[in-house]
Amino acid sequence: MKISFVIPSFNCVTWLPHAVTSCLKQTHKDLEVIVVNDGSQDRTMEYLEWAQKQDPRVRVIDLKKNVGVCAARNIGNAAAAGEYIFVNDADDISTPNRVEIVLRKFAATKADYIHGAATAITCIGYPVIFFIGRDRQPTAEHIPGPWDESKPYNSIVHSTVAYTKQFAEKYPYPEQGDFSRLGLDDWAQQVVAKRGGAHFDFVQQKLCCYRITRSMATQRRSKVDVAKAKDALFASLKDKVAA
Amino acid sequence: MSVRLSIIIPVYKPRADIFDKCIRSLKNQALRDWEAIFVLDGPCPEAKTTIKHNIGTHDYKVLEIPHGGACAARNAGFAEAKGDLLCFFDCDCIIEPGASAMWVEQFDKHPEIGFIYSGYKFIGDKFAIESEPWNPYTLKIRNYISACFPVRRSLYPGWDTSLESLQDWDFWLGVLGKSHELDFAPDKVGRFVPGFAFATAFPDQDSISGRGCGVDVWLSRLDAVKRKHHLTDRDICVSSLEYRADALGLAKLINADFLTVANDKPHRYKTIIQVGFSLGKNVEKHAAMFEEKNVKKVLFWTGDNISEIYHGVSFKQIDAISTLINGMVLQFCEDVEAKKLLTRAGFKAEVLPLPMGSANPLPLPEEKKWAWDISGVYSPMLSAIEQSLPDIPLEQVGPATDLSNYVGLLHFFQDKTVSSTIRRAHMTGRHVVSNVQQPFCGFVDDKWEMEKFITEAVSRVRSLSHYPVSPEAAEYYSPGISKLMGVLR
Repeated sequence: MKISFVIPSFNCVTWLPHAVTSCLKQTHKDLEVIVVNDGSQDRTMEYLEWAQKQDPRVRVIDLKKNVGVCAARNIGNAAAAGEYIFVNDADDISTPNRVEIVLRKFAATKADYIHGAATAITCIGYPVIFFIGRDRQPTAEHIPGPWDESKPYNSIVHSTVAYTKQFAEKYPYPEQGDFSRLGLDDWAQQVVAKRGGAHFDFVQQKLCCYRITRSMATQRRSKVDVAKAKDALFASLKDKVAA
Repeated sequence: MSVRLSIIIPVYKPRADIFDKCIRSLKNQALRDWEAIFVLDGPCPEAKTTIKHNIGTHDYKVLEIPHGGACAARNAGFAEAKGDLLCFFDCDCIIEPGASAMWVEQFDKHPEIGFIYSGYKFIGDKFAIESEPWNPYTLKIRNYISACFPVRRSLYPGWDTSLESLQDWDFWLGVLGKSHELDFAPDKVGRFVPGFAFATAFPDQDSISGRGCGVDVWLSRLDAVKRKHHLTDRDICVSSLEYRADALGLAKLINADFLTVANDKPHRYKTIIQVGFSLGKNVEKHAAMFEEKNVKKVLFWTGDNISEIYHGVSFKQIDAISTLINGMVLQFCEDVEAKKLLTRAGFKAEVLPLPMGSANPLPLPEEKKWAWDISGVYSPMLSAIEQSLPDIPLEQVGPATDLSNYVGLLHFFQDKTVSSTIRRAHMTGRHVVSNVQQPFCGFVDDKWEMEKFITEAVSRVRSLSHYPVSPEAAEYYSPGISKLMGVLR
């Protein structure tokens, strides 16, 4: 069964090779890796041309100007030839058997959208230790749980997510609004999909290592902007229902 | 079966416990087309029976000559040898089973090779002599090739029976001389195969080349060989334990001798230039060099040494050494940063980069390959950088690697001073990305956040690969020898 990885990349040539290699090294071999170069100013294309020569499963969509991560993801999803689309951000690393695990879960359930556990890593690949819970247990693991839009944080690591092609067509990432800049692209899609009745499920196995870097949007956004964007999304959805 | 390799074994007072093992080791070699010629240096009936008992079915010849020394015996053996390759073995050596087959294979594969040598072990595995890479320049200073290694018949110079000792040095110098006549390329005629080809008995304390030899005796023996081969005595010796390539380069540049340790044997040097001095293990033994009387001593500190002073040595050690050498030794270092660090540690050093010859910038190679020379502390960053650059191969380099095959050099060490590797890169016209804050060094600060450090290093490697190097860099980093010569005078 063919699947597609979609990797949007904007000025991320340092980490992109780690991501692409991890996708190509999956135990499930029937796949394509679509890299959407979102108008990068660095030498991303140089690397991608080389990667394409090395492995024909790499497909490159070179957007000449920067359109934002939501639009880039939608363009990549539209080009995907696989039955399932796997999200992988440009600085994250999929575990080698991620596709295998997720495909098994898709076969066992009627889910449209599957996510899983993940480990946070630093730029050199060491685990990032968080202190969580009331007793401040040290852990680097992200434990997946059922999704709830009222939670203050997102319980889904986007790079563990896989969805069906139909899901991607039905619930595109919202290109209007500030979601790309704030790194709320995944959350906005989840709100719309969940209200639209999509079936979410998750696995307990580790599917990816996500890199925590200072330059990433989720580290730099302001809380006020996030709250505003969230309110705007809820308001627009209410309008739709009213209409 | 035609004979390829003739193994000639002079036999004089063989040790009963080793001689039979020697013969059996020869019999059990992987190589089949060889012949054994035992030359009894004076009558020795026990040896004959030992040979007969141990050689098995292999063909062999025993010659008997009146006692005349190993050289006479070897010459007599040569007269009977049929092979086009000759190996003058010893009756107290035990050969590795595969060594001779490897020799013959190498000679067949590479016609430019005149002789092959390796290191050897002492029986009991306590010590070993590793020998060193082939270089005609260093052979003219001191011998490092055992007599027991194979040579082509065409290069055989004969063994000089008039010499008291150092006949093996004389032999290899003779081989080198003959190779000039026969148009062998001097830098390819010898081939060094790292490893140990045979084991031998540990020499007696009072043997000729052992310690029983006095200062004058040693020097007169050295002179005898030097006179014969028209080798001049040099006043200056460059020495280095760890920076062989740099020290040898300097020696050639100023026409000096090069030795790993300058004062391990009696010598007549007026000046000793030491490249690099480690305050780590064996420092007392090594520092003995600086106590030599009536010798001018010069020391070039390297970045590694400075890093060691700051990270791995006790203050007591530093204090002892600095008291010993300040005032007695002229100390130099690569740059202002290095001088600052040395002064703070109590060493009186001046800035004078190690001379490395004239700059020779070459155009960048086609393949975009980078070299790296990085301290272990930076290895996590290196692995991230390596994974970020799958399209640009990174290779580790040693002090003797030819950097012109690479586009540039990644160089991260804790001391942050210009090293000889950085200067070699500049002088061949190569890019440098390093944590050294000096001109043309592609400064990436390791005090930055790790992420910025890696991203910057990666983007520099990516973009620099497309640009030619500025020719000024090579000029800037190639100091002439005039200043050093001024100091020595």
